[in-house]
Amino acid sequence: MMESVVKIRRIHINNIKNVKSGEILSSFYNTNQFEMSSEVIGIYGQNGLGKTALINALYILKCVMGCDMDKDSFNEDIYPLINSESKVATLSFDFVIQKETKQFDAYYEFKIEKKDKTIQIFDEKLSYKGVLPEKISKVTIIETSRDQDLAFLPKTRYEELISKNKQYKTDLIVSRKMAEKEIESFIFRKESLDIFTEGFDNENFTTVILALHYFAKMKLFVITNHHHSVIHVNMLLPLAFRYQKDETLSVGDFPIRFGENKLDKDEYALFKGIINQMSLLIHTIIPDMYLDLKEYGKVILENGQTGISVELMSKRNGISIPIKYESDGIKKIISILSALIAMYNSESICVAVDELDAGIFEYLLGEMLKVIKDSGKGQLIFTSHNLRPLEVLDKTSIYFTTTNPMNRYIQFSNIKNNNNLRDVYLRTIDLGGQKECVYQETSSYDISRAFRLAGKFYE
Amino acid sequence: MSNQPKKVVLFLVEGVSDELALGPMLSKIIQSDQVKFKVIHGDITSDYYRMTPATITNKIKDVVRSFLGSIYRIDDIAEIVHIVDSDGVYISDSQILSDTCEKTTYRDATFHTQYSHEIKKRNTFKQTVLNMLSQRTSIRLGRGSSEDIPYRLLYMSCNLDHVIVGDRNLDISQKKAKAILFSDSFYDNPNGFYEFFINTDILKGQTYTESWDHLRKDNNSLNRCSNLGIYLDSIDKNTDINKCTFAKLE
Repeated sequence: MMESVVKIRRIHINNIKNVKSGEILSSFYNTNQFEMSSEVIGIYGQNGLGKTALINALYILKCVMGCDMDKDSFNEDIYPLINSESKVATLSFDFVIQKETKQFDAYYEFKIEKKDKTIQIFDEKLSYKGVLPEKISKVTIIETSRDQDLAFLPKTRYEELISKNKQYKTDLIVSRKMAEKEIESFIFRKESLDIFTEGFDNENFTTVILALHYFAKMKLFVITNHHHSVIHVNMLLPLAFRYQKDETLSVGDFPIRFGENKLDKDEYALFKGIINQMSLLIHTIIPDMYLDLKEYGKVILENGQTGISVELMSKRNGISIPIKYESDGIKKIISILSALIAMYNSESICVAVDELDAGIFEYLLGEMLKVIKDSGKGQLIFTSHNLRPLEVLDKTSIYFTTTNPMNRYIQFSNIKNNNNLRDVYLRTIDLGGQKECVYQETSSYDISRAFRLAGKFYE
Repeated sequence: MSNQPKKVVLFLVEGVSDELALGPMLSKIIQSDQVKFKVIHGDITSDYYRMTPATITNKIKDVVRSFLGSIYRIDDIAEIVHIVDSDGVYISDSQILSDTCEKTTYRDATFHTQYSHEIKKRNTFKQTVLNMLSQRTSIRLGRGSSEDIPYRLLYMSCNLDHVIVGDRNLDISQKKAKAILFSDSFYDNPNGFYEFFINTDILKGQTYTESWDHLRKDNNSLNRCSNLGIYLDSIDKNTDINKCTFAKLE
């Protein structure tokens, strides 16, 4: 079976942190011909205007649609992301799905609510539209509603399943209840997926549902500061990776400890593969540097089996030092590199990185983005404060956050091709001129005075 | 927010202390435009070594262009306000006295310096330049007349420190601190800044021309005065400047 390719076409969020409403469209949003080349979307803006909220939204999408997160972590991570003045946040995503000769647009929307210190997922709606080879008008595949007695809507779809197998009726009710209890998506939890794939006659439905689920679970990488804080405490190096060898595909966070790692045989082989793959790239980005493994020999693992103890090292000019002694910038490059490698090489990988620039030398950042934009295949969505990428990427690749919570993300209009977007951005911060204000005014004179007043305590 | 970008009022000043003294309050008073300072680090109007009166406008254009950089456009500039120290420029040569004093010193009617010869040459040059620039109403940066930017030359006599703290021979180490103190003293009262400059102790003359006529007379270019008030009177001020929002820090 050929793998399907999924790309995100549109992200719309309501009430995520301080974003009352905000929307990002991919550069191929307005065309049916979605580019097989890579797409890079950068989000820029002042602190506190909603850059990270967008990455958070993708993280929520991954959790909900991929359906592989335990409920406690989900609660803990997602609860604070809902706007503090609101109870409910709405997330809505458009995708394009390509499988063999078929192409669909898919739409997934859901709400999350803060209720009794936990999160609830509700009002899910999944629809699709046929684009190629035949046009099919937009239809709802599955919709859940709190006011409905049926496990899901539309009624015809529900009845189609029940008529096929009476047992589904109970199974669907149980799945619905379990979804609530376990804080999972009703549509994408395993028990529901089994029923849908078995029960639906329309092959397109199952293609859409499975493609999206698989995309979220295996192909969407979200690297947030949650990761970076882990780097900073010098404990773990979270390698977001996707590594394919022979028939097996591994994906996810591979927690490499600074210092010794005790790995079983399979983990060791995987780890070694990833490190070799990354070493190739790291060498071109940080000249003279390679990644290396130091083996400390056989150890007995917790499960009683024999494993091997290894440590990740960086090697420069023949000298190996443990990665834990490298700078945060290098640690960060290493940690996102594997995900970027996958994104660069595979059109269906989407990597979302918060603060891509943190700790990375700006020239290098620009070079990396240029390479990814020019010759990569997947999607990269990142936030950054560093303005160098504005000089490297097209204006269609860049969104700016605004001071208007009802319209948090805009693209600049009236930009000529020969305009340097970085200069235009700096001028707009100062003088305005776009449809929304992109900067809450600060006065250098007030800042200077505040420094002086704060210093009075030292006198 | 409107789609029209704001404009910049560009102040060309000689030193950092000019910006420290004037910038904070000017940016409160002028609300419709962005107040920007370009510190020249020196007095181009007295640079008789490298400049002729004919090349001085080109020099001003260079300064403005360096401010624009690649970020601002010519039509972003609403107005150029050039502020210079008078430095006793209009006194007669007989009042410039040779002295062994280490530092040039301004007095009520005399100027004491080791370099009287150079100062006399400088004064001749600077007089010509100031007379010319004070007549100027615009500077053309681009090619067409649409790119003419309104220009105004203002003075601090005999220098900034003299105007704001009453000491025309202030030690260089104190310039910044005094400038900050001056500006901070109006923090909750920008209107006081405006009143300071329109008070007849400082502002001499009712009009721009009269203010320059005053400076040229007698020893006035050694005395304490400034025509910044004429400018402040002429602009659209923030309607109630004392009510504009401040971040209260105390």
